[in-house]
Amino acid sequence: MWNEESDWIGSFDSQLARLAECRMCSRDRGERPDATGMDLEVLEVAEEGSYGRVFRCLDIHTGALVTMKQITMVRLSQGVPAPIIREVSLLKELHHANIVKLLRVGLTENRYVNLVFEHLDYDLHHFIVNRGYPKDALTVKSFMYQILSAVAYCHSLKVLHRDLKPSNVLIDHSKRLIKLADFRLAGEFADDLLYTEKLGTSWYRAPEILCDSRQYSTQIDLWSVGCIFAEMVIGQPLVQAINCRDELEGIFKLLGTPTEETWPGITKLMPNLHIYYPKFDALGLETFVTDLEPSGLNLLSMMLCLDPSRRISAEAALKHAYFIDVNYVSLLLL
Amino acid sequence: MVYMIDRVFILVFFYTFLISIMSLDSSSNHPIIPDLYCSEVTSEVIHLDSDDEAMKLNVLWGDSDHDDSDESILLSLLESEHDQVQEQTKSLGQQLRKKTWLINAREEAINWILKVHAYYSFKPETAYLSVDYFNRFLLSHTLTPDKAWPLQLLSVACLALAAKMEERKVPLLLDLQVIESRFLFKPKTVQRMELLVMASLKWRLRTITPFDFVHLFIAKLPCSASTWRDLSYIVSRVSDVIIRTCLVMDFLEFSPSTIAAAALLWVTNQCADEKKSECFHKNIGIEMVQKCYKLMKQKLIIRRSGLYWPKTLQLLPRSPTCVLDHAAAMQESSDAHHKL
Repeated sequence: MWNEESDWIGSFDSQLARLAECRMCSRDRGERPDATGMDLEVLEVAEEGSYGRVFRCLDIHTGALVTMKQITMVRLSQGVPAPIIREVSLLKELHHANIVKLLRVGLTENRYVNLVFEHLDYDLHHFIVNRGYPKDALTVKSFMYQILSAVAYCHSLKVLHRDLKPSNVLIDHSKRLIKLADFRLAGEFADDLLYTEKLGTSWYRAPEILCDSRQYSTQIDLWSVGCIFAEMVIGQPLVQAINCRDELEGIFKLLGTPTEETWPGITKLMPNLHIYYPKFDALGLETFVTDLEPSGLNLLSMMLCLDPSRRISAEAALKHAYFIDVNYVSLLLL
Repeated sequence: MVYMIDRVFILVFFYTFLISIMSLDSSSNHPIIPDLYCSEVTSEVIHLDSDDEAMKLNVLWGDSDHDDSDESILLSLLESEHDQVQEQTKSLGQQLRKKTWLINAREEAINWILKVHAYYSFKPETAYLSVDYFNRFLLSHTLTPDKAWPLQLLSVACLALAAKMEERKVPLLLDLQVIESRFLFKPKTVQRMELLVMASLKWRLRTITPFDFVHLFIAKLPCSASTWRDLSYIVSRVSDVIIRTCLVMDFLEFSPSTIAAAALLWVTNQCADEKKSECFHKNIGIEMVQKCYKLMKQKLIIRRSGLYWPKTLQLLPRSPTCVLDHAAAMQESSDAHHKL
């Protein structure tokens, strides 16, 4: 956990950066940035993100709506922050219909990196909370297929998203088109994730990460997709806990506390497992996710498999029987 | 004793390299593992439990046994590579060669990058990416020959960018310049150069490198070694050859997959005939692999003594026939040591 000195130092360093960032942001809080250098007119502040702010803008030339993510560059002793470099470089190489498109990158005031994205109507979190979760089974299936297509594409390029959750799934309402967003944590390193873990929600985090394992791979994204899948069906997050320990306990209540048989290697990963967690019998996914057809429930159980080595891959999930009975043309027509 | 140390070297390096290939991060669960490219490793060998490490390596390596997923990954990489190569002018080497002064200045700059790379035990990918950014920037910008500091600043910026892309821990910008730097640039200055480089490269810093192909190609070799020790030896030697190609401008005309294929054939001492190339992938040109192979044969032998490399690597003998003979030779030397 957080006993390691290096993690503490890293965390402290990040907190200092965040404090500096807050100080800078507070000066600009009431003001809209001048984006004329980006050929954009700022319409409104859409979001205050953890690394900067998000604005809804109008492209002066095309008249199209775009989203501008403005990232403040702090810690000049390190130059351009690594997460910015990684996210932009990644997005530049990801070309997929279900991944948000980065239109251009620009600089303002030698202090901000501005990422201009195509604009989509809203995200899946907003969709579930404000408009009622997609009761239409076909919509759920269509959304799931698109999410898995994007994830399979990323994994084929050896890219982990690492922060899949409904708010990072954007929706084009008229086309019922899904696009994955926010690749700030994507890549191969855990530093940023370790830090974010203390602030962000752990509801979509894979059990091997909640166990504080550093050895993880593409399977963590499949767990997140499984959580999104369940949430689309039942209209709320599957396990809602305020910290990693309670989140893990909620998972164990649902799926059963793991043993060496159900999760080989768990006793080495968590030597004190049975001291910290009661031995739960599995309640079963079917008791929580009641309105899902049998093949969907089967796919969900393969995504929400405690043992990462036995969890289904995105590529295999796309070939699951859950998607066979749907005409793919109708998916596109939705 | 020398034999045992050498084995630990290979094991440690392979483990580190394999971790990066598999996109796994285990640094917090294991002691800090030195990289073979650090010359200080000789006196600081970490003794690992070879049985446990061997089991871990086998488990990790076993994940790569799925032929279908390997094939789709390889195809994906080749498509990305093709897309990137199209954007970069193929006449990069030719244009750079027109400026005589730049050839020497470039070599000096790259040598500096490789020294810092070795000092901080960065990954091989970091070295390759640094040079890639450096080359691509030179293609789109003209620098005046009378001043030396712009190239130095460019070197620092490219190395910093590559480290941020690839390394878990990135030294401060000032610390990056501790090695034999004639100029010392402020972080703010380096940041501006970083932004200039990124804009020039259109923010496309996630470059396909030969290292992306190495383990996929090794799996396709017909006489692929079955034990982890032989594999780790091959990987470390291939990485060595790939990094050496950065110094020779003539290699700029070859794609990363071609360099990876030729380097693997070169290290395993096989001829670059048609069958060898075809077994990698149908999309990889036979002629280019053969041409690259020949260039390796010429350039690397000639320039070997001039490179900055840890002495342990210089001492490694190159077997005339194959890796298995090399293993046998090491066994003999081990026996010889026992007799003393």
